[in-house]
Amino acid sequence: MFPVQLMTVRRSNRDGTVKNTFLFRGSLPVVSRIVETFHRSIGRTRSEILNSLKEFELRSQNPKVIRGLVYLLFRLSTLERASALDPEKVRMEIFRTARSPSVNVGERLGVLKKVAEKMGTTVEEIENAIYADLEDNLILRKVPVITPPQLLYLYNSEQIETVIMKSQWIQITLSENYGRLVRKIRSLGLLYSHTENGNLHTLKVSGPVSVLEHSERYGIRLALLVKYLLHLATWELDAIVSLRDGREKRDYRYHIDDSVREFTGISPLQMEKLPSFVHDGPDPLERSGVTIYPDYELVLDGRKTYVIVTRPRYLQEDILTLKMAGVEQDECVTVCLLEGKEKCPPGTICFRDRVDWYALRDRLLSYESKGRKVITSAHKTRREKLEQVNNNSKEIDEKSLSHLRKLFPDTDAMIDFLEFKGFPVIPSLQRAGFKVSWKGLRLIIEE
Amino acid sequence: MKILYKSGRLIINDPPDDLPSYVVYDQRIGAYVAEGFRYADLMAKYPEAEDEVFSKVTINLNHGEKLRMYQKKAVDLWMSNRSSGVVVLPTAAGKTHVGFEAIARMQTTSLVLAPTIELVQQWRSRLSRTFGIEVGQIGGGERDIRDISVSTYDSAYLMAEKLGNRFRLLLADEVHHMASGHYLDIARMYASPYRMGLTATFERVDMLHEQLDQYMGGKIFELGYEELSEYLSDYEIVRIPVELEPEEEEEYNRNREIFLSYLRRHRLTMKGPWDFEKFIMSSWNPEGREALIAWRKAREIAFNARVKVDTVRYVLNKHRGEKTIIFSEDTSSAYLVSREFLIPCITYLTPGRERKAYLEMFRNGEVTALASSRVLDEGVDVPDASVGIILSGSGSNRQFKQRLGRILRPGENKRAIMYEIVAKGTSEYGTSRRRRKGVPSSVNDS
Repeated sequence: MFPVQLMTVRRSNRDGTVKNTFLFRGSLPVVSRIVETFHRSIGRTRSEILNSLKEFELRSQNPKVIRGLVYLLFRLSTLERASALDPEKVRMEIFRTARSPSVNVGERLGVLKKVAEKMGTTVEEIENAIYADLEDNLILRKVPVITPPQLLYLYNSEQIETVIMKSQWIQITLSENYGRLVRKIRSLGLLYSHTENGNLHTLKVSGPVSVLEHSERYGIRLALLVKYLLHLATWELDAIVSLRDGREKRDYRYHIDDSVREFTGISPLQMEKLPSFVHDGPDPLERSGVTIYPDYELVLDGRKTYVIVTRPRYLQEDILTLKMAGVEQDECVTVCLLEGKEKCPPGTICFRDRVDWYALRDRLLSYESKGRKVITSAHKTRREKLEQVNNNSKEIDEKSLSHLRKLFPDTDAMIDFLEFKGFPVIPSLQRAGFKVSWKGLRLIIEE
Repeated sequence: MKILYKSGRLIINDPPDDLPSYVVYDQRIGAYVAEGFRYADLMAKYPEAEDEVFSKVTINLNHGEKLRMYQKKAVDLWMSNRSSGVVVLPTAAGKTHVGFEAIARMQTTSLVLAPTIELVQQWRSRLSRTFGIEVGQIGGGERDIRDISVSTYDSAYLMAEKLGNRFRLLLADEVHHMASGHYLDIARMYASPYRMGLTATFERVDMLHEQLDQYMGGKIFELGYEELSEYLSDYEIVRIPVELEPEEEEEYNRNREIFLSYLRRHRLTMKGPWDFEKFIMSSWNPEGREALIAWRKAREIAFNARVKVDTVRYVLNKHRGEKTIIFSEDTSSAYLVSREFLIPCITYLTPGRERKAYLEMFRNGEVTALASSRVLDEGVDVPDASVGIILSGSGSNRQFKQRLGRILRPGENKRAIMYEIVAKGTSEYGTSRRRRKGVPSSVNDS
């Protein structure tokens, strides 16, 4: 995504529409020139590179395009500090030594000499290091391996995301991958309304407060959804985008469909290649008036198992939905994808970044032979597990009580802490002065 | 009827038939919903409603601060206005004390909002000292949420869904920030029934402050510099005109002419910020771009004239040992001054840890001067700072008053002095005149 100042669009106030101004093959010489400039600029500072491109920017028909391409290349490049010294330490040492402003050359040099001596280096190195960590002073060390057409495609895709970032809601019409998209919407914390016409599904997507006010606070999440949508095969998208028009903000209609592939270079073939026992986007399951949208269907030993891929923060909600629909967990398995430092919720099947289908198959088959006890009990037994731990007689000490209070309101962390220390959960929470109650499978802790 | 809070809005379960028009049906979730700020109205209209929005917490808070008469009056008026409204007092008139008193009287969970990390850190340590409690901080790399917490506007906005029903009192320092862009979402989404805004400069040129009437309760109390002179330090404003060097002057005139001829050709006039915005909007063609670059170049020359640095040297030498803040409009000038005089510099690029350390060093006298771009314009309180140097600035009267406020904290026999260094024969002269409008002072060209 670009900062909004780098959005390149054409708007028509007459019919109230806005369109991307995409780069096309004819723009390749411009893109190539920028890539070349970057390759030639290894060893120069960021501000030097920006200055060297200023004239090119000025002469270009649309300077925003140049700035956008440069923005992308800087984001993908490796920049480093010019000095091996820690600039923050150098600064602190200089300012402490100087105390008051050095108003003449001799005084200034005296301070720098003292600091250089103390840090075992030269005055010149100290001068170099003082603000070596400022973004503009960073040195370009490595340029990404990217061809001009690839950079052009990336530019176009991110322009679409930038427009979506300013939207209040989006409406997606598609015939395939409906369930998958719904799951994505939910995992992003967005809300939707759904209409169906034959095999065409229309989803109007916005955020929780969008019904009350025009809010752009969900723009980034909508853009992430569209980033995902760009990888799907057949779709259309309509949106209302708020853009500044002089003093006022004005709403514009925006429309794209899967034909933008020509400009983004994203082919649906780039979707994950799945093993033969995994099927993508199965039909939804209708149970007790609740619709479940599994992401995948696994066929193991001739038996179907649905898979929902979720994130830790949506896990409980998904488990509850399955429970409300009366879907047994040996029919539909929830798998948690972890990002960064996220921890695997207890008793859950987790994968980091992407699902390892073969590992999942092996695990499910091994459970199969044991009657899938572990999977089916994973969350159902959270309550039992807590109650079992509650039967411990170990009494919580004052230090742990104080730590527990500090963790509030992060209830997951509180329970994890008590479980880890082996203290009975509910009595310990009550001893710490919290009110404890159950809401379905969730333990509610209140002050 | 039951009122809950979820994802930044109120959800009304088992609603009565006479729901007000601001409650709407959200078919996506099959429930009636309302914006967070309607909580107080809903509870007033339906006192019997089951309240699941806030948990019941009472906090014992006492402070030994002695309030000035006008500070007490401001809090009394705020209390009588359903504990909502904006208090407008000049910088250095003790707005923070008004905030302390409001928190002490409400004895409830409170979130203080401030626009910069410096102010957040300052509020946190002062609240902690005043009430003798641990105070939470949200923003600047911290996420320590406590019954009394301080947050940046940015973090409060980003965490609105999560924190919107955590604090009953919302105290917005420099509340004029809340009126712009997405920060207004904070006022809309938080359910806090008690709201206080503090500022020295409530009215905005874009008139967006009018929106705060609905969300923060409107202006309920205001005093100006003239009414508070006994509580502020004496001050003097001295304008120092400097001559551009011949080549700078030539370059300035050349660029200025490119800019002006573009305006003439396109029949554009520059009478206010909106005209300038119009110019920016029109400048996305090579000719306009050239004019914009010329304008920037001319401005840069006026702001960063070489002789200005020597003038700063002269002023620093004259006030050696006195605590001095040097203000500039852009970060590069601030870093230039920092490098030249070996003094700490605080800009929006300075990491939180370093900012805190520099301010602490400045407060306790380990360093006697600080350079800054716009981040120290507001709120930062260093009582014994007595010299200000404006190396460059905008024509904003609000910015000038805020900068002046940094050196007006009263002190024994203190006489504050604010220097404006202005490049002669450039548009900076007019800018200087515009920003001082309405500020009582004696202005000398010296």
